Amino acid sequence: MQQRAPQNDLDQVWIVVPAYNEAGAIGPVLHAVLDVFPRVLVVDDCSNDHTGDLSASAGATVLRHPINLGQGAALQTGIDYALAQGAEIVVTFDADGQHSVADAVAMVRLLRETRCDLILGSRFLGAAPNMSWRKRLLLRAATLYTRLTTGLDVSDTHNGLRVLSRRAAERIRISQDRMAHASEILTQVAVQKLSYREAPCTISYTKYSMAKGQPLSGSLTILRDLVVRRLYR
Amino acid sequence: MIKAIIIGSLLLILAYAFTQQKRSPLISGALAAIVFVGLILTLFPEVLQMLANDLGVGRGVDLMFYMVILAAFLAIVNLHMRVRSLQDSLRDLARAQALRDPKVPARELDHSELAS
Repeated sequence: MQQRAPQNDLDQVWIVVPAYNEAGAIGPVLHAVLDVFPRVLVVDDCSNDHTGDLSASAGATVLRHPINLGQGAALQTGIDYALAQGAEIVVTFDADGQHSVADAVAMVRLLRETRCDLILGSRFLGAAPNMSWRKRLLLRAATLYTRLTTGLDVSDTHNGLRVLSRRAAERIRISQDRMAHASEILTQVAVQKLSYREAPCTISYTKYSMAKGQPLSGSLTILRDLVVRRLYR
Repeated sequence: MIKAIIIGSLLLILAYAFTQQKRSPLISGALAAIVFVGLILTLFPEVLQMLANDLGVGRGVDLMFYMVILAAFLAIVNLHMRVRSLQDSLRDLARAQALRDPKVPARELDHSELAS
């Protein structure tokens, strides 16, 4: 399907928003994003609510998985579509209102200035008010694991706000369909020696996002997925 | 009598193994080998006892039990790998369908397309 020609410097920046049952938050999130970025793609991961309809009426392009596959799979679907549309930059952005549009804009700018392959959002360089001490501890442990296994000098992990150049988006292939994709992306950054920078970002933990977010036991599932994928690679 | 039942069952498995030769030569070969060993052990049970003694297992039946556990484990691993492979295929299909049918907002469409 042919789309309109680029008009400004954000026209070839695609915001990819994976979403599953996000009807409670996605409308305002998309309006805020669309105020700045003209190209917003929601990958509706077979939601049971009106996530897809709300996204379409907000003005986003919507792809719908016929079955629920997981956030990692939704991201890869979105990246595939954005690349096919000629995206120069792909931004991954959460649907639950945790991320700030201003951070995304600053990160896109940083990517263009530094010509890095990726810009990774870091809540530990920025701010994360209302983050529980248990989550903080878990994320610190996960970051340590990532630093040890990949050798990357990162201060945060499992942060959904990332900016990828076209080169990086073409090279990274997410095979972890569910939540372990965040670690997998960093592993691929290390293996493929992609250049990256971290940028401070603010994560807003609201009642909604905390209720929607992963339970702490999810970290065990992520660990299991990573181990299984290594065994069967 | 029991020997006849076991041998008959093993031969049925062997026939199944032959039907799978093209589809999955590895599994087919493994099944045929298991049937071959099974036939020998059924016809000459003293071989199992000798093997058990050589391997330091008290009774032939215990050795058989351990081998069955090992075979069951391998079967589970094989099934698990197959399920993962099916999951990957399912994901690729679901993704292809999603990509084929995007819901694009009207403002994104090319004017010429809108006109047509």
